[in-house]
Amino acid sequence: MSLQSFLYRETRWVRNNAAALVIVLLILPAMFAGATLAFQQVIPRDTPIAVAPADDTVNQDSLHAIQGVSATFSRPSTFESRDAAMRALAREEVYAVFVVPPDLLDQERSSTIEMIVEEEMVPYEQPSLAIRSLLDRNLHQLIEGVSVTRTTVGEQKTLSEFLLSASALLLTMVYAFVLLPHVVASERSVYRRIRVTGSLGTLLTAKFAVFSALMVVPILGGQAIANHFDLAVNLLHPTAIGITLLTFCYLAAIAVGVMFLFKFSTLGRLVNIALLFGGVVFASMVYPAGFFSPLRRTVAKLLPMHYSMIVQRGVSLKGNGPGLYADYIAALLGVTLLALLFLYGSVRYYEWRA
Amino acid sequence: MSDHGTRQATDSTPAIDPLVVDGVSKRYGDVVALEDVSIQVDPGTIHCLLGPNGSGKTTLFDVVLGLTSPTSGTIDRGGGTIGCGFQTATYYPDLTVDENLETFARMTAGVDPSWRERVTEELGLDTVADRTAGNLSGGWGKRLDLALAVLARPAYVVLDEPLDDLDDVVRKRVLSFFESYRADGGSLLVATHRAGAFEGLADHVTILDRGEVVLDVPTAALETPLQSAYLDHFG
Repeated sequence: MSLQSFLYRETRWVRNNAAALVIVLLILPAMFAGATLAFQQVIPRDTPIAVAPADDTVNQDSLHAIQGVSATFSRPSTFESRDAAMRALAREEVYAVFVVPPDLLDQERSSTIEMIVEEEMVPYEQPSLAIRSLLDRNLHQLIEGVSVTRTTVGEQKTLSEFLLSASALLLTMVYAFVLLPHVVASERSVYRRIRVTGSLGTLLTAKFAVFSALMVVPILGGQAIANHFDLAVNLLHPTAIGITLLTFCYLAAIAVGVMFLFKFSTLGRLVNIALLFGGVVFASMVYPAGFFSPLRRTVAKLLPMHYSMIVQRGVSLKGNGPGLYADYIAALLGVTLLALLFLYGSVRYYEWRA
Repeated sequence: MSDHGTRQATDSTPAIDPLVVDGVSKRYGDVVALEDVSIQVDPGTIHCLLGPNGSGKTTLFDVVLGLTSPTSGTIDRGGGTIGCGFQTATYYPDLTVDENLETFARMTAGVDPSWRERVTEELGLDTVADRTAGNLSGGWGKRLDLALAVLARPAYVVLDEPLDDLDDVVRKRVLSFFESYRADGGSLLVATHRAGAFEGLADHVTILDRGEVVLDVPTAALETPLQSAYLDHFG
């Protein structure tokens, strides 16, 4: 056979997979190029921080002054109390709390602003040191006798511990967007028979049950590694396991729904890969939201994976109770319900079109 | 229409009514796949559905199996269970033959183990029980698909080109199995282009052409052999 005949076959392949190739060769690279716009700086300038009064005597002018000064390297919000700000810190609504003293604007007295950060937020440790210096220098230029101290709360963690906590959810994303859709697609030939003898809904229920159970294996593996290297991470906290499984459930429902929607085509697989990359890039699961740009912060706040990560990190790394994240968990349950409805709709559409 | 009527109850099977397709039409936009199709499959019969490619056989199967809804018309399955064998392989490729049979047996309540054993033996699948289904040749795959179709011993079995990929020896074996299935009170609705293979076996024949029924008679009423009747119509 001549090379020409094989080339003819390849040109037919290109024609028959034109849509998939447009995604791989055009849209995905464009997305990558576009996604670089979401990375604007390597020193955080847009991470949310809290400005809170030390007590009731702190006036609004003092709070506004700190808010104004800190706006050059963060996105400040004013909280009514230190407790409210600390709660926001634990929930990763903010990544630092600036506690403003009552005598800040009194030029005749020296005062100290307390900057509070969490030890567990390891990627923010060095930036927070830089921010403290920046705030200290900027304030000195405006108000004499003001200094900034940096206080840490929580337990000191290593980068390994931080990343191990995040890895459970990152792996869950891979399983949900790649492994399960691949398995579901590889069995598509049997679905006509299943539709006569049973139902695709029951089949998917069984598949979700088994794969959810399998998700526990990497969690156990991760915990075994943590124990072996004395890493202080509790991946086996019931809420941590629960949130991992819930995350798998809503992501898998979306991914499998996409496969049914696109009739298990290459296009469907590529859409899932695009969703996976989009999630990894924009959900701010490792670095604080707003670390690289305000755009990433805005998008992250819209993605459920961001909140899954906050809850997972909160219970497995920080040792917080699930009650602190009750609204996040409720919202994630709602997202799961919507994702399952999407899956149901996709399957019905597939059956109607088949 | 055949005159077999309602099947009487036996020790192993309850009495069921005929499977009736009444005035079924199916349209995909402006394309008419089926137009006012009416057939009746009587209990304990083999009903051949003949027609060239694109005549609407597969659409009619999908309607009978409930895989697609008719645009108009009704389907009455006579209260009987229904099994299906498709033109392409519809089993788990990663499971062995035996595991596939076990999987689908578990999906259907009340599969008689002795019946499963008999089906496996009659179709020769016991010799390849441990082979991965995805590695089976076309003929073996067809036999596995057939076994899955009759595994629950349904009252009606709907088969799409069940003799494709089978050599002459196996084809004879499968036809013999069809005969015994009918003798046990089961019914088969078979779409095939091998009209000759069902000569002397089919009780009723329906010929479809461009979505319409052009012939629907008991084979006993045919004046020519089945194959000739089919070819004469399209000749």
